[in-house]
Amino acid sequence: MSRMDRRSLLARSLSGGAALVFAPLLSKLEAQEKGTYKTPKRIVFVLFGNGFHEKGSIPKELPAPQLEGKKTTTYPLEKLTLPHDIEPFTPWKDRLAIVHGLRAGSVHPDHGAGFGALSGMNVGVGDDKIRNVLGESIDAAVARKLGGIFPLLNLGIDPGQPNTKAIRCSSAWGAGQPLAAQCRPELAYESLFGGIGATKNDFATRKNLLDLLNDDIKELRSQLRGTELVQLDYQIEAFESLSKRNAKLAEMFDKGVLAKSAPKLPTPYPVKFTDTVTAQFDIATSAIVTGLTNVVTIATELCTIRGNYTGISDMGTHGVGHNEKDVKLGIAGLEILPLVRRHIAERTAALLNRLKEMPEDGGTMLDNTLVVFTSDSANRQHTHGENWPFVLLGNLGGKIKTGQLVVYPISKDSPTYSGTENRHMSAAADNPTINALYNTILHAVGAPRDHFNLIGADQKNPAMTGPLKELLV
Amino acid sequence: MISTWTILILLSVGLPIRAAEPPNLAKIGVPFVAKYCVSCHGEKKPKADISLHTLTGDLSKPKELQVWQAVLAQIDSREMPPKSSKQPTDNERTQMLESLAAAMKASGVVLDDNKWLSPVKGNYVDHHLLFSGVPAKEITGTKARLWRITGPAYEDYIDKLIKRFVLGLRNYGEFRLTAPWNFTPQKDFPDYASVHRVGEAEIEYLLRNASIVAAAMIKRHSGNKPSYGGYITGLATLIKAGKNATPEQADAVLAPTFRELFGREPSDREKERYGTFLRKTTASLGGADAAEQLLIALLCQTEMIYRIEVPNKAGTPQKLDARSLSRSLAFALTDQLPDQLLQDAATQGKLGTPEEVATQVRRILDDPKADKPRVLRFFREYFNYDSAPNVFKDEVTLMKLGVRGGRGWNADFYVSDADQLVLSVLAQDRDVLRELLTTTKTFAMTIPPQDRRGTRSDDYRLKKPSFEQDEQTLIKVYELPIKTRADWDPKKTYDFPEGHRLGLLTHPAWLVAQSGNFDNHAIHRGRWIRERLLGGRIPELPITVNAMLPDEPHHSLRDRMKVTREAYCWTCHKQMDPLGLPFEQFDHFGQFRKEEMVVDREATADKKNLNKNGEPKRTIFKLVALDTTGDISGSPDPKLDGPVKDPFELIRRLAASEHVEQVFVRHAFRYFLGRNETLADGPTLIAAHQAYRKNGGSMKALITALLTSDAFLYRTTQ
Repeated sequence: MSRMDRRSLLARSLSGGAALVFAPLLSKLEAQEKGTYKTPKRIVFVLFGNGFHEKGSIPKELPAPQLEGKKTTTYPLEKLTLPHDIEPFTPWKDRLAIVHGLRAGSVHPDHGAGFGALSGMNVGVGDDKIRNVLGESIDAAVARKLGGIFPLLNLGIDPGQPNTKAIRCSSAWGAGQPLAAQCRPELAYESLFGGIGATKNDFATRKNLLDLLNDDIKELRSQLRGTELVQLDYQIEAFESLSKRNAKLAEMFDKGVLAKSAPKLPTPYPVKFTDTVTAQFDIATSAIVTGLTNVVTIATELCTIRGNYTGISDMGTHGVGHNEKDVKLGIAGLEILPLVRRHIAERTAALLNRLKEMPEDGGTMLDNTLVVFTSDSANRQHTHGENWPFVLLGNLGGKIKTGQLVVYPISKDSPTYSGTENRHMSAAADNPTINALYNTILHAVGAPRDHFNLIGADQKNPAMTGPLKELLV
Repeated sequence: MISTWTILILLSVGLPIRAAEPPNLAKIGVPFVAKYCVSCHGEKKPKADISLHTLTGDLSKPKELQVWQAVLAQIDSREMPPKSSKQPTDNERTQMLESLAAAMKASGVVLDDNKWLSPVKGNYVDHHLLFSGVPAKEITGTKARLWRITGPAYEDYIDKLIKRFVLGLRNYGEFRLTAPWNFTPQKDFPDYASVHRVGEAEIEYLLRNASIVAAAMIKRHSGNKPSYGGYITGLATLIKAGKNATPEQADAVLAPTFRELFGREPSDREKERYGTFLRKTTASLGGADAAEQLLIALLCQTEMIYRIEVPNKAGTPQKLDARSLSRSLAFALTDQLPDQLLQDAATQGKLGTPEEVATQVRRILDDPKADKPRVLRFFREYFNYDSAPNVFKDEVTLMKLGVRGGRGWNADFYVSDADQLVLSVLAQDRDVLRELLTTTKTFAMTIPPQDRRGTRSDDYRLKKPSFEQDEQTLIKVYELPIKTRADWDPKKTYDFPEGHRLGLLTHPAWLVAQSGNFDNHAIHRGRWIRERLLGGRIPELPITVNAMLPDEPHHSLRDRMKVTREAYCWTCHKQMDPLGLPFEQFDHFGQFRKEEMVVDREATADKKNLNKNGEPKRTIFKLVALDTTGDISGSPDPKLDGPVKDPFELIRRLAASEHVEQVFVRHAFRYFLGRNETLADGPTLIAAHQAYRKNGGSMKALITALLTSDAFLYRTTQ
């Protein structure tokens, strides 16, 4: 497709009311003309709560007992039927990898793994999981490599709690360096696209303001020591990061493209869980398509158990996971969860569709994207993390082997809690952990490591470190 | 010492993990273990089935890593070697911990240095040394710091500003300008000065709030001067001058705006910095936009975010300046800026001595009209009963209580009643801790009617003559003789049935807060008592432990907890379980009981109870005998130790203890100072405890002592 075609497509999207900003795309075109352009890779992490029950991701033709075995097995997806929860991914079966049999390792995913979900680290149990930030998360590790004006766009949804703003729950640049998930779509929108209707002066003014505030707080540096100084420096870094971002947006303004491509702010502001999920996915999509970011994390339940799936069920998410009956709907919790997962899958599919519409380097943006779709609570609400199912969508420029179901050695698990009767599976004790998958992703984006956040002997055990040969091309 | 654990491993940079020097665990750790541990944990009959004689210091072996982690927790918490055994010197212990920490680092284990600043580690400072009575050699004070103000305090400021200037903003409901930060829910004190971070998300939100308020301020000052409400003449002049605004007009804005927003003059540095900014923006943008930018900047500046507690100069501890002190005093007790009298005291130099500070503290504490949420919040966070609504109770367990559906249970009721109980004890201000631990009274259904499900009736009782399901549950749980609404008065206290309750630890709010989804949580309850009343230290859960009780509903909780009595677990669990198990006197909804209900497996599996698919139609329960015995052991006060037959004997013994009182004072120190105590704070703690005792167990006296201590009044950069 010619560059004119792409411009035309963008224009058409704009006239259709789509939330697009031209600037980074046009920058790409310009870079291509100069020969400096390199196709960016993009990764989207989708984390949902209450567990990814095996039933929700195993193809219909493969009943769970058939998957039990002591060897790693792969099944082509081509002739298999995706189950209800992930049925919206059917058009991309050839770009889909479903993974079973990874272990939680030292992570405690029971009731949501908190900062353990994306770091693969033991961050404790109970409240500690959403408080202890002990190391880098995989999305941050990837963002370090892939960059972007917003290196890591972290969006959250606090189910049924429209007043929640920013919560630190899933992602961190390193120990003690958490990133907050923006839980309000309108605020995320402002951060990402707020400068679009601006004038040149607005950028300069905002920069002056940020610099003034930074100077103000820097003055206190000489009077603080130790932890208190680290605390202050965290804020100073935040000011500087905002200032840099502002400068980059100003550059885009200077190229004259921002002003004419301002998207509309979504109104009315979403309140229900389902609407908020939709809005956050829309924002993430626009941010990716416009090149404002290459890495997105969407945590639909903030890596814990809280709130309500309003829009689907008014019951508490906790009760839903316990298979309580929703009296209004007349269905049980474990019938509600598939609806929740399906909604999230539909929004993910919509994101993929948009990327597929966007031409890039002879293909589409989808060709260079990977979606990691999983639950921060492994395979159920009350789990030991015996099996942590993942769905990978997209092959990241041919780096991930797709079109397959990969099952590491796995057996049937014995039930531990009544009320969550769904069949669960248990990975063999020496199966790789989620850390191996995360290192596989790092290899795929060109930032390989010896291991990702493993401890002890596992650091040097190839079976544990990854990359997983079943997944990495 | 603990602070040497500066070993956060930043894997984030992607560098290979290598210690600066090879860890010398084999040279230091292994000989340490041989000298102090192997005599009990050796080859023959090792205690707790833990053998340490084969350790080599090679942490690449998974089993060895696991054992060393347990060793680390035990040595660091000083639980091991036991007091009856030969003790390592402080130097040996420090070297051991350092070498072990270095080796852990090389193995990729992350040990959070900041954890030692968290309240859960407060008890690690030796209690005996703290209260040994060694007089203070010199003023020590508290490290210079920024303490993020509470969300409610920020919101109160913004709300008052909007009202004072009649800005016409709808500051309620979805339009409310809420604080840019929340507390992370946790069971410790969440508002420690050292734990908060202000990052990009908070700053962006702060800017957004500030922009909304600033725009409204500009609008207010753009037309004719209003006949009421706040107004800054200089600001209006600058705005109206527009593009023709002069530097002089800009200069004239600064001081009055500072006065209106912060009640003070700008400092010389601020005059220079903000003045330059204002002149520059006036020249480039004109008066109105420059004024707006100034307002945004001021509403985002440091004072809007923090209690700024820094000394005027480096070196020896310096007393906080009067203004900072007045803010710290106000934020210690309230969620508001200093009231007028406190501001006046600061500007008139009447906060110069501890006595003058005490006068202000007493005034606020004695003023019934002064809203002091921080005082109640201390008790909520100390007892932790306010987390009861966060403990989810599912339908099956509700049905066991005889409650159907979600409307039958409202934990907020119990928290509100406990709040009122605390407030009534505080109003008496006599033997506060003992009274809270031993009262046999409760309030009932004190949540104001208008706060319930949107009901706004002023006379709820008349409009709703019958009790609702959740109210009926509460009456049943409390065992109160309330039959009709005519019997009920939310302002009065009721006596619990004799012998069924004793203080907050038997109040359903606390019992539910310290319970699980399906059961009591004897471990949490025991841990609370060990840490909050006895001042004990519970080692961290080893990462290899899967902390789950077996799912055996046909056994009592005490029976299911047999797994914690395995030798490997018991070292830690003996500190918690015997303190928590007496509370089996109550079920996990907080109901008094004489027998325990468990699943009757045989009856459930009986043919009569099976459907055509061979599955049980329903779960059948049976009653088994209740065991409420427990034990206090290993406490610093030997008079406390010994078996107890039930929770009441346990509580009475604890409530009578001076040691327990001292531990309570330590927690009050942490809350009001926003940090853990150090040995240097010993004299402050002794003085606070004496003030409490000499004044008949007065919380007011305790708070006054803390807020007039050197620790509160002085800051140091050392």
